[in-house]
Order: sequence, then C-alpha cells, then structure tokens
Amino acid sequence: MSARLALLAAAIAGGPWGLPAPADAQETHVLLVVGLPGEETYEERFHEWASTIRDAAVERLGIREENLIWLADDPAARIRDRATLTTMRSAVDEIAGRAGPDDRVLFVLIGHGTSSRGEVRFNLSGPDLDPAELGAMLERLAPRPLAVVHTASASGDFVPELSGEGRTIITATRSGRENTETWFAGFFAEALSGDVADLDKDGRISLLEAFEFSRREVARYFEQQNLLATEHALLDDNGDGQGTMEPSEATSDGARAGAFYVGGLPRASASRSDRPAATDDPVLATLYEQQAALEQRIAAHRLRRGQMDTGAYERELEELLVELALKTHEIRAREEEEK
Amino acid sequence: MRGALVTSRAVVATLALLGTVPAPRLAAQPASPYQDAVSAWQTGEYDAAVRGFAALAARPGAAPDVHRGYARALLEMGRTDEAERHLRAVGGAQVANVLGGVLLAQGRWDEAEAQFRAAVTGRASDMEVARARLAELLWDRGQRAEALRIFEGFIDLYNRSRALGAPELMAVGRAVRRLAVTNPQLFQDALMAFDQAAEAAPGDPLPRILVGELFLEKYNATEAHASFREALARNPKHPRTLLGEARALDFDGAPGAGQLVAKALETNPRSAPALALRARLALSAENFRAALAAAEDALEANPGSLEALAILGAARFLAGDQAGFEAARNRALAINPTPADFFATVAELSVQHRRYAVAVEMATRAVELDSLHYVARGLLGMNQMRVGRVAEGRANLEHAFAGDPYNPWFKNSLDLLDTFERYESVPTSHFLLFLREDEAALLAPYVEELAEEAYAALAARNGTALETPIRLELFPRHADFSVRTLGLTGLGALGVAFGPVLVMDSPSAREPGEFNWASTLWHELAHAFHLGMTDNRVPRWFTEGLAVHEQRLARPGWGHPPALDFFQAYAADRMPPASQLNRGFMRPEYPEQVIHSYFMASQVFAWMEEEHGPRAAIRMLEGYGAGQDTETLVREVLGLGLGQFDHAVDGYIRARYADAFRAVEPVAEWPGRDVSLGALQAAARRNPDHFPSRLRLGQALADAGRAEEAEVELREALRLFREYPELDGPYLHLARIHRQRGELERAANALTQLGMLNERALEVHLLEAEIRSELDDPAAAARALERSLLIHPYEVQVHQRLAELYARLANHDGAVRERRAVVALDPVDLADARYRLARALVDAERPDDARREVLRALEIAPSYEVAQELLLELRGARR
Repeated sequence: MSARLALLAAAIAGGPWGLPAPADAQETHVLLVVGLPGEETYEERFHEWASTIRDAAVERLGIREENLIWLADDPAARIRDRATLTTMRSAVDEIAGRAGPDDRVLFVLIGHGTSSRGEVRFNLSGPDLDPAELGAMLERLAPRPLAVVHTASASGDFVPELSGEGRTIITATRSGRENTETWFAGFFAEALSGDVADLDKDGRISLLEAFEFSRREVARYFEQQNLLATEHALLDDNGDGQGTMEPSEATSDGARAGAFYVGGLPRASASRSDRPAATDDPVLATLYEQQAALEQRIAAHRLRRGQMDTGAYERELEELLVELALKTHEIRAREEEEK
Repeated sequence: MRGALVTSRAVVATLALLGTVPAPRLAAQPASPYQDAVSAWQTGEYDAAVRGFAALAARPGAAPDVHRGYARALLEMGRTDEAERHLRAVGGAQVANVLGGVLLAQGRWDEAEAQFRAAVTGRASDMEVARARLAELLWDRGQRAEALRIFEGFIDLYNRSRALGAPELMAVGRAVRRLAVTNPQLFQDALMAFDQAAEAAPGDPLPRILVGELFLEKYNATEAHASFREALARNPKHPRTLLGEARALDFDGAPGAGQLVAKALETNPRSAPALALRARLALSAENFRAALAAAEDALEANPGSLEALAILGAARFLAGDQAGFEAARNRALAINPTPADFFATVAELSVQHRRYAVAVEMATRAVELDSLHYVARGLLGMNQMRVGRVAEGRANLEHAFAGDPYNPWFKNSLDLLDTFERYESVPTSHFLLFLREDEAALLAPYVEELAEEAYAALAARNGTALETPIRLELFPRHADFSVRTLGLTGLGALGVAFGPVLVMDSPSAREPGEFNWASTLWHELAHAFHLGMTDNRVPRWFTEGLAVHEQRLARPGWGHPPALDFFQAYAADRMPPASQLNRGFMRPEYPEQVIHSYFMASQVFAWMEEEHGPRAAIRMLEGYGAGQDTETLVREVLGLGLGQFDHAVDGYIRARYADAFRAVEPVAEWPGRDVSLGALQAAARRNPDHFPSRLRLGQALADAGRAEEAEVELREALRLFREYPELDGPYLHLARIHRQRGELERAANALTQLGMLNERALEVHLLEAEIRSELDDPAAAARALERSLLIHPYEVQVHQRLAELYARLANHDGAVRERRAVVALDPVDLADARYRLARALVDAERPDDARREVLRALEIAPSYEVAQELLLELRGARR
C-alpha cells in the first residue's frame, strides 16, 4: 500500500494515532486574510483566490456565511474589514466567543511574506503578522481543533513556532528562503471548489486532501513552465515543529489533517459516517450506521496490507467492498422511498 | 566509497601538482660552449646544438656529458646511425646508458639491455638513469619480477639521498610510476619526484614532459596540456613534447593532433612514436590505408616498437586480415612473451570501430597475460557492459577501479551501475526493455509496440533476424545515458547501438519537443541490424546514412530533415564527396558537419534504392561483413568507380533538392533585422522566386493581421520549397489563418503536412488533434495524438483525451492502454483514474482485469459510488 493510501485509510479509520472521527455537531469557522498585495496584478490574483475559497466554503462546503470572516486590504462586497493586526485580533475574539468547544477553526492567509535576519512576517497594512502574534491568536482559540493554511512566500518559517498539540499547520514554502511569489493558494482554492481533491470520494475535502492536491499541482505547474520549483509546501500536524513535504505514516504528519474537514456537508450523493444524525427515519439511520461501520472496517483492513498474504487481503477487501456497495444500494433505495 | 560524478575529463582521485615549480633560473648561469650547446638543444636549435656538441666532442678528453648531449641531440633528430657511431667510438660505461637509448630507438632490445647493464655495472655517473631504463626495458619485455625489484630500489635511493640531481630524480619518478600498479598512491610520489627534477633542472624540458605524460596517463588532460605547453614554450620543436600535446588533444577529442604529429616529424622524420600516433589517428578515423602505411613506417624506423606493432595488429585485424594480425602479434611476442599492452591496444582501437565483442576478447587476453593491467581490465568491463554482460562487466570494473582509482570512466560507470537497482527489466518478443521503475509502467507498452514494429520491418527489409533478446535501455537522465555509452557525461547523441545492446535517452531525458524517441529507437535498431549483418564491420557513414534512410521509410518526417544550412554548406563545397563521407563523421571540419553528414549519407541510400533497388545496400552490408572495403563494394555492387559514385550522388542531391538549393542562393540586398513591412515587400518583389524572401514577408503579414496577403506569400513560399521542415515555415502560419477563418479542415491539413516534415513537432500534433476533434473526426484526432506520444508521452490530459477518442472509436484495447498510462502517471485523483481504467477494461471484455482495477479504486476511495456500482456489476457478471 502506498504511503498516500495508508494515510487516507488511517484518516478514515480514526488512524493509528487514535484521533477521533469527526462528529456531526462540529462546525467550521474560517478566518480568511488577504495581506498587502503590492502590485495590481497581485491584488487581482489574491482577490480571485480568496473569492474562490469564500464561495467554495459557503456555497459548496456548507460553512455558514456568518462563520466566515474575510479581511482584505481593500474592503469590498463580502469583505468584512481591512486586513490589519487589529482587525485580525478582533476577528479571533469574535470566533472565540461564537465557536463551540469542538468546532474547527481554519485560518487561511493569502499574500506576501518576508524573512530577513531570522524574522519572518506576513505583510499586512500597519504592523506585520509574525509567528508569535499568530501563535497568540491560536492560543486564544485553544483547545479547539485549529488549522492554519499560510500560503504566502517565506511561510515555511512559521512552522516551528506555530506547531503544537491539536494544530494543523500548512505552509506554501518549506522555509523563509523560498521568498518569491507563490502559487499554492490558487491550487488550494481549486481543491476546495471542485471534486478534484476529493481523493477518497467521500464527498468531503479534508485538509490532507487539499494539501496533497495543491502541492502536486504546484509541482506540475513548475514542471510545465519548465521552471525550477521555488516553493515546496509543508504540512505539520503532529506538533513536532517539523513540517513534511510528503505526509505519510513514516513522517507521522497527516493524520490530523486527514480528519480536519473543511466544512460540514457532504455531497448529496456521497455516503458518509456522520449521516445518521441527519435523518428522522430510524431504518435509514440504522443503514447509515451500518454503512459507517463498514467504512471503518474497510479502513482498518487497509492498514493490514503488507501484514497479511496478498491474496487473502484482497479477497477480504473485496467482500467488504461488496458489502459496502450493497449497503449503499439499500440506502439509496430507502432514500428514494422517503422522497 | 567513490566521490561525486565526474562531469568532464577531470580525474577521480585527482592527481594534482604538489608544489610550485619556480621559473627557470637560467640568467644567473655563466655562459660556456657546453652550456651554449645544451641551451641550443633545449630550445630546439638542433643544428646549432649538434654543431656545438660536435666541436666539444672532438676535443681530447671531452667530458662524458658532452658525448651524451651530442648523441641525445642527434637521437632527437632521428640521426640514430650517427649517434651510435659516435658513442661506439667513444666507448665505455659512461656513454653506455645513452647508447642503450639509441639502440632501443631502433628496436635492438638485447643490445640496449646489455648497454644499460654495462652502465650500471661500470658505475657510470648516470648509472641510476641506466638502472631505471634497464628496469623499464625488462618491464616492457615481460620480466616483471626483476623489473619490480629494481624499481623498488629507487625508493631506498630517494630516502637515503639528501640531494639527488635532476636525472636521478627523474629516474626515481619513472620507477615509482611503474610501482604504482601495486599502489596507486605512488603516482603522487612520481609526480613529486618529477616536480623536484624540474626545479633542479629548470632548462631541461624532460621533467615537464614526464609530468605531462603522467597527468595524461591519469586522465588529467588539463594539467597535461599545461605541462606540455610549458615545455613547448621553451622548445617548440621538441618531438616528444609535441607528441604529448597531440595525445592530450586526441584525449580531449579536439582537432589539431595530426598537425602536431607532422610538426614532430619535421624535427625527427624517423620518430617511431610519432609515426605510431599518426597510424593510431588514421585508424580512429577508419582510414585503414593510411593507418597501415604509418604503422609500417614506424616499424621501419623502429622494428621493435611495441606500440607500432600493436597498432599494426589492430589495423590488420579490423581490416579482416587475420594472418597479418597474427604476424604482428608474433613479432610482439618475440619481444615480450606476455604482451598485454598489445592486446589492450587492439581492444581499445576495436571499441573505436564499434567492435565491442572483439574488444572483450582482446581485453580478456590482456588481463590473462597481466592481471595488474587495470586499463585492460576496465576495457574488459566497459565492453562486457556494452555487449550486455552487465554482471561480469560490473565485477571487472570494480576490480579495475580498485587498481586505478584515477579513472573517471570506471568511476562514472560504477556510479551508474549503482542506480541499476532502480530499473525494471520488461521482456517482449524480441527485446529486453530496461526502464527506470518510476516510468516503466508508462513507457513499456509504447516502447514495446514501437520496438516490435521496427524489428519486424527491419527484419523484413534486411531479410535477416537478429539474435534476441535485444537489450534496450532507456535513461531518464541524459548524463546516465552518456555515462552508459562512454563512461563520461557530455555525449551529444540521443542513442547508441552497441550491437545486441541499444541505449538511449528516455523521452523524459529531454525537454518536450527536443527529440522523437520512437524515431531514435528505429534508428538505433537499424544500426543493430547493420552491425549484426557485418559483425560490426560497417563504416560509420554507411550505417548512419542507412539508419536515417530507414527512419524516413518508417514514418514521413522522421530522420534528419532537409535543413537549409546543409544546402548552404553543400553549395559552398563544405561537404566531402559521398565516398569520403566518413570524414564528416570522424574528423569533422566544423561542428555542424556531423549533422550535415547524417543527412547527406541518408541521401546516398535514397539514391541507391531508387537506382539500384533495396538489395544494393544489403549486398554492400554483406560485403563489409566479408571484409571488403567501400571502393570494392561500390565497384562490385553498384558497378561504379568512386568518382562515378560521387558524381551520381551529387547529381541526385542537386536534382532532388533543386528547390532547396535555389532557396539558399544569395540574393542582393537581403533586408536586415527589424525592417519595415515595406522593405520586406520590396525584397520579395525583387526576388519573387526566393523562398526566404516570400516566407519572411508572409510571416510579417500574418503577424500584422493581414491574413489575405499573408496567405498569398506563404503559398508562394510553399511552391518554392515545399519540404521546409521548421515550425516557422508556411504551414503553421497557414493553419492559424485558416483556423481564424473557421476553415478547420484546411487548418488541420496544413498541420498534417508540417507534422510529416518534422519529427519533433509536438505542438503541431496537439493542435491538429484539437482541430480534428472540433471537426468531429475522432480517428484523425487520435492519430495526431498518437504521433505526439512518440515525442512526449508524459501529459495526463493527452492520454485522457486519447482514451476518450478510442472509446468513441470502439478501439477498446487502445482505450485500455491510454487509461493505464493515466494510472502510470500517478495523477492526483488516482481512484478516478483506476475506475476509468476498469471501465475501459469492461469495454474490452476483460472482466477479471476490470474487477482488479475497480477494487484498487475502491481501496483508495471505498465510498466512490460509481466504482461500487461497477464492482457489483462485475460480481454479477462473474457469478
């Protein structure tokens, strides 16, 4: 089994790291910050990416509009305020006051970053945002599940300071030395706005899936442009302060990101483990529970690949998958009846 | 552990200068007639030196150094008889060493040995030099034990002597250099001794020559050049220095070696080493007659020259003269009963003639005779690799590198071999594909399909089969391909045929559109047939030209195109006639001449097939295999003398490409860059039948958006030179104009035409596919995409499009191949890619394979409902 596959399996199974499966009641709160763009080209580009993320979050991934705060240097429709340290602090206070104890909070930073003489910053109007300030904001929201997707140049140097228990940190670059313009945010927006990043076809996008999609598309972009890659994204979610470029079991990064879903609603056609609470039909609720249990068994079985005879593994997998497919059939039939 | 990859002819365990040699301190020396003579000799004033020494030697009681200097000056000029006469007249131990050298230069080994011994036993003042030369002589005659014993004594000499003179230091260096076969680090000590000798005798060129020769022996041509050039600055006529520099140039593959040999022969017309090098250079250029003549000349000057005998033996062997080879070998055996160098030289020269199996055989004999001959051991390993005996080759290379850690070829080859564990072997009907594991799944189906098609076509054309499997290796890093071929990076070629082993760049080794891997493969396989049919005896020009001709027959547009610069060169008499085309490959006069030679050689076969039928080339191949030369075969097969042959080919090229020749005719007032449209229009009016004028105007009009006028000019350009192959030609512009007007059929046809003139037109094929799809012509669109895959098969979207087209065309096997390619490219959405492959397999009525694939899709994404549906469908079908 590939490392990639194992990680997705682990994320679904709850993972060897013992992370809880996401509960239905969890909501996602998003703080979307577009820093100083500088030139007009960047202003347009950053705005387009932020718009895509906002639209995907609200219109596609089911994040309530009031749960998304968008700050940008040039406030316009749908943008709450200018992006400054002050407005960021206020937004964090607002989320801290509103979010439930199990809710997820996602920071997305788009813009330019700098790193000089050991000091790394995200450029805002007025004072810049540095890792200590951002760390303090995260502390304010703890112990909720937190994620930061920092897509600016030089963002890699934020990882050591932000890394911590219960946090997923994604950066567009692997260090402060990668300080030219970045493309990661564009692909991250694409990951959220379509089905392309739903790698396990469960109808939801986890941060791990979005990261995987974005980093590979960034690499493909540079390859197609025949350019040397100037950005290499990192993911850290095990709190060790070391980001990894290719999360896998071996790196032990990725499990928390695999369980951090952006938004709460699955596609109508997809099965999912948190569906039972969404129906009043006890038969359907039971079917959903059975489906979820089967998914868990399959995920657990996949982790045994390599530890058992290949033939036996595949036979057992096939039987489980057939059982799951039949269960999906039953669910769809019942859903049709309900209509 | 070995160090980093060697990217040029730098050394691995680098042999470097250990100290700074001070500038010559000649000015402080008081002048004397003896010093004047020495100075004249050392600066190349040979006549003055001989006169000066002769006058001094005529004086009663002249010192031994006078007689030695006189004889050595004569020897350097090739006047060996006079030198011998003089020394014998003087007589005694003091001149015995120099007399030994004079005798050795004439191949009189036994007499030379006696003189060296006499100098040693007579305790002459140059007895240490004589001792070193005696040991070298014994070494060269195969008496290794005694030679080594003597050489070892020089370590003691060096260690116990506080102030050795330059001659003794050079003797120490020469001895230590030989001892280095048992301990490579001793080369550094040899270098140190030579450096000290240079410091002790700043006017004497010999220490610098020895330094240069040592550097060259250890593959450091840069330092060798520096040493030789320093020596030449003092004596520009010194034969041995000139030869050293010539060898260094040859080592670099740089031109000029032949001229330096000629210059050496001006000083010493009887220099056996110079004549032997001339023979070697001629043989490298596949000029057998000149090689044989020069080797004979060398042996006439020195019948005991082992180097000349080895080159003579190689030339005779490679020309198919087995008896002549054995005669040369027997002469070498008479001098040295274990002549490992003889066989190593034949092996080395066999490689230059692509006779890799012979190289293996000869190198094997060399190492059987001398297990410490690391050059031969490495040659054995490298050539075992070339004939596909990889495991044995590796073992011998490891052995050779342990004994010769300075050798960049061995080191690079071993580094490459370390990566072989990341390659997969894929057997097909006639091939063993060797592909790097990360692209094996993608490439194998395409490479197999093309290779098998090429094999069938070439076997039919040549009426023969090859011994199979043919090993076909594709390297994703061009540097690896280069090392696999030469042992060094920097090879400009795309592929190489060793016979049963073909190696080439993988399509990923170059930028998209830089080369057509399929065309290259066809070319190399054609070589494999030619080499197999002739036992590797086919001349370079013949096999290259015929291979390009085969490419052209395989697909329109494949092979070297009719480039305008070729016709410019041809019109300016910068191409050799057909019968001498080997020169264009082996000793090109300008860099582009090699590429031009490929095209011209291919035209020889176009002409030959048209005039004499396809059997003519095969009959010539059979003749080469039987040892016949080109002149004989042209006469017997084509019924022509060489002059008539040249004339016929010339006539063919001029007639066949009359339009191209017209296109390169100079015209008056050719507009410069950045001129106005009006100036281009005026130029086209002045030269209405000049292709570049019409094309340039057409391009400018198209760029200006004046499509109607542009079309007129571009069509005129096409009329003038329809086969212009470059992408800036009329077709692409016309395609754009037609597309803008909505004339999709005409646009697509223009692209098809261009695609049939240029084997690397990746963008043209992709654009054509797009337009053909718009025309709802899936079959033509698929054909265009197929052509693009022969250039660059790494784009997921291209495979997806082709899979969809094949699905529409009910070409289910094609769709499966394309869906497999998508999976092999490891797309982000792998679950979807596997599901679509499963669907294609269902369409291809391969339910078991489909079930496996859909399970793999669901293993990644268990909730993927369409895949679940397919699984149930397949389970139902199975049950």
